[in-house]
Amino acid sequence: MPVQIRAHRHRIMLLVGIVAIVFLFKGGYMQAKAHFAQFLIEQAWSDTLNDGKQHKPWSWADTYPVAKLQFVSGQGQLQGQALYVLAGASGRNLAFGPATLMGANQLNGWGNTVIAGHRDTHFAHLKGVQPGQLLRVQDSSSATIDYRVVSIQIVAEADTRLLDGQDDLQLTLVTCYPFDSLSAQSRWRFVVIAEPVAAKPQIQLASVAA
Amino acid sequence: MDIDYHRSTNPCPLRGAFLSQGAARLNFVALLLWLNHHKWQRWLALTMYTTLTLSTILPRSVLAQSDDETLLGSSQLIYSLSSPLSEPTSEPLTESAEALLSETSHPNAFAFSALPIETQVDMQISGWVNRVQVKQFFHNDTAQWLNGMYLFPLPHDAAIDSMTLHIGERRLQGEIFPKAEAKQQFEQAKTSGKQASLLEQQRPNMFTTQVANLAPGETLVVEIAYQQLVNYQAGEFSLRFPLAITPRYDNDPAVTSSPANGNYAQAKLLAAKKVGSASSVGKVNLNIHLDAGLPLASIDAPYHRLKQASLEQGITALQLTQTLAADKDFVLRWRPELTQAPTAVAFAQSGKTHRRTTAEDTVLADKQGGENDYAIVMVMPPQAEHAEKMARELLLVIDTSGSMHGDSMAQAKSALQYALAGLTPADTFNVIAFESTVQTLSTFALPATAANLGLANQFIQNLVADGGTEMAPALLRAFAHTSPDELQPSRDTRLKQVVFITDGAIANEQQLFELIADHIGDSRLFTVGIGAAPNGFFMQRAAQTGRGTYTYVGKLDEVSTQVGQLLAKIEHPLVSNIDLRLSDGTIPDYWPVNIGDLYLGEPVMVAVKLKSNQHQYQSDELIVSGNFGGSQWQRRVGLQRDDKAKGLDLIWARKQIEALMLSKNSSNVERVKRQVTQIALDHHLVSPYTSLVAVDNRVVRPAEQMSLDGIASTLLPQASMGQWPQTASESRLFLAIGSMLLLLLGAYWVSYAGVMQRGLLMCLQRIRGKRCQYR
Repeated sequence: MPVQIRAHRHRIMLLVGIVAIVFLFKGGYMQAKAHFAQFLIEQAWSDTLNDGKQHKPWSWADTYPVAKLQFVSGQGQLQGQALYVLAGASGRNLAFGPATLMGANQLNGWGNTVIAGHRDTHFAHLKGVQPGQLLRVQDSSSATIDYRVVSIQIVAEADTRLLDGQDDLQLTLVTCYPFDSLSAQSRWRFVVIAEPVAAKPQIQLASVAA
Repeated sequence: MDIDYHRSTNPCPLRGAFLSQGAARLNFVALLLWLNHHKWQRWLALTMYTTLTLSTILPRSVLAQSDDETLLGSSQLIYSLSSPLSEPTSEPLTESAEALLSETSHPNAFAFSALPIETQVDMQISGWVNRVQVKQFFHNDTAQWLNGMYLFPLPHDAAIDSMTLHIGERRLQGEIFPKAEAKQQFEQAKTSGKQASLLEQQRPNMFTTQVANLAPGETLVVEIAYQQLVNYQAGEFSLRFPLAITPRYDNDPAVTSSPANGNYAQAKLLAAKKVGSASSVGKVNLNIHLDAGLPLASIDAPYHRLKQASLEQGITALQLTQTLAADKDFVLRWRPELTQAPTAVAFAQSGKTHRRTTAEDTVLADKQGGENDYAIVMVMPPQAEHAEKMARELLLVIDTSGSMHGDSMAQAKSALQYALAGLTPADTFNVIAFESTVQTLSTFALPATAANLGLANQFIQNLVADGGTEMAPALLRAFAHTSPDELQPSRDTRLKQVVFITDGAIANEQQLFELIADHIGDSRLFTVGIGAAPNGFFMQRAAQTGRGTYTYVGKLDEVSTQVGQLLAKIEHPLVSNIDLRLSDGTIPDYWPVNIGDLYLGEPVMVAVKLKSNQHQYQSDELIVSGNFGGSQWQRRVGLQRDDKAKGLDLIWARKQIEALMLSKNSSNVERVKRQVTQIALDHHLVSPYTSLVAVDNRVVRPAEQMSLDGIASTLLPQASMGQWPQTASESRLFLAIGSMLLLLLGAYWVSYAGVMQRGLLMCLQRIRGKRCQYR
């Protein structure tokens, strides 16, 4: 056996080399796609801000940007790159950028907006997020609202109660957990819940019962 | 409040990013082995290198199967910011509280502890109505004063109308208030040292109870009562109570020990351990009194074991003895003897369950002409064997946009084929596929002949998922769809069913919704959402407008079975266009307003509000009418007032609230909120905007002692409308495998090409040579 292997060792080495490069390329392509797609999405986003319409980042896209998400430090400085959020958290969209789950809510308006992102690309830095972290979200009408992280939870995949709607404005960021796992499947979700910093004046209900 | 912000550097670098001492030693041994010429030693060395490389590149989480899951649920909260509203308490910490909160950076930080909650459930099923009492025992076995909070699920149609706080022998009845007001009352009681309880709705099927100032060693009992209709389908009654237990995430070092929040989180962890988190999964006792009113053929609970005993007058007592499946809700099914299958039931009650007593209200009630009656009406349509099956036109609309690519598409295809197989020759059908453009099988609906079905199967097989998602043209196409003999009115009795399958997000939902409302006509719209992306709320509303149903399929491997079930159900439409009126022609106030079609084995089930005098003097009968097999079908149901009937107004109000909540959109949020609040306050119901609160007037907690917050949450709600998206990719796995292989290759090349060997040997020889010279 060893002799035969030795006889073919150049071929085996070549094969292993090709396989290694294919894997590297595949992984690198995913990372690069996630990174560079954001530039195209950024363009579509600036078009959207200009004319208020939905723009696809590329002609065959199945989605369009709905928001710009930024991390803000306590001193009001922006941290890291802005993330452009796509509509619809399907697997394909998530490869290009964080994406919102469409539901009974309006971004920066009312209800719970859930934004999902991949733990190995766009939402990798959720790992460093602490309660108190500020998030800045710009919607398509150029309105900007700052959110403050109020809690961080790790929930089982089946436990979707944090997904459900509510009336008060809330921002929920979600990614897979644990962060340093390599697989594409995960049983846990890392959920960051943020509430608007300047709470909107709520219309008080006249107490009918009293 | 000031937030000291820490940008945390990554506290846990990738494991194995550096070599430990042991690994370095192993490396050296491997190198020595390599230098020897024996073949087996080389192989051994190669294996060692492989292991080393693997352990260097792969984080431990891949190699070791983590056992971080326990079936015992407790607090899911990892850490949270202490609310800016809670002022720093001036009260000094007690000794043990200080121990718990040692080194806590925030003096007013919450300490979370797991509270053991025991639950006692008593169900009184009488006929069609189920009255349930849930007693929650908050027991404090610590030396601290505790405030307890318990998050728990209830059935999504539960109309909760009462909460009683038991303090020893005393009972405090909860009052209904708008949510903010109730919360304020509770918080006031909490800070002033009074005992109180608060029941809030978080989601339609998730609630929290809170108790304030639970003394050490004390037990407070919160008793909740709700009303519910039992389900009836195909001759079988059933009910469901959520008992499924959620897996819990054990506190992970990566989260809890990062420097920024370490103290804070650890304090809570400590607290949780001290209070005893292991016992936090509550015990549930369940007792049922089943008074079906009919002789029963069978009683069955698929996931739980019950003890059964017959009481007098056909009442059966049941007691939960053993849970067979921890991840399943409690389900009870009972079936009356076959000959007794009910065909129409109506019973009424006069007045509300919770009456107001103020003089103003009495005056108001008099002006309105007395109190109202509430009734529940159930009508079973004639069953299929007596009648022709209704001919139908089935339109299958399928999303073939890029996002459906892969597994979703394969599943959807098999579901479509299943649908085609269920057609009979009397039916017609068509298939519409859409992405950026719309593609149809045929311009007109085709009769379901073997040849046409063959064509359709081929069409479906050839569908490819690609492109964008443009729903409007596809929907228009489906609704506008006409058969070639459109001009012949005799064929118009066909029921048009549109099954709309998509996994895409719906963007311009308001426009689409208007489009559906304008064009739906007499068609029925069944929406099917696949995966994490669909806009469930919209799809549900669309289906309701289209008098159909919404099916949500979270797991991809369930697409064909779930869609299959839907299609099997809608295969037998019996009665359509159902209307309800009184015998004098007036239409009562009934919910749900849009009664969907009736399929095989399904009854009409509505809650009706009637003016008392009207129902007594003018019309004692309700007329349910509809279109049955092409002809008019009608059934009269006499209303009897029943002394046993209770809480029907609650069910009526609950159904109305449900309908209102579903109609909520950006433009009417505030109006819906006002309406729901009003209805809920009138009927003493817990709703998204109203809560029940009970406050004792005695101050029990000494002002110098602080109370800690405890939290418990064990149960999982019934499958909610949604799923977390899959938020990970293999990119890093691929990168790791690729670089590992390259490294191996490098190592191999270095050895066999002899670079290292030659170099080392030369070096050794030189040293020897020198040594020789010295000698």
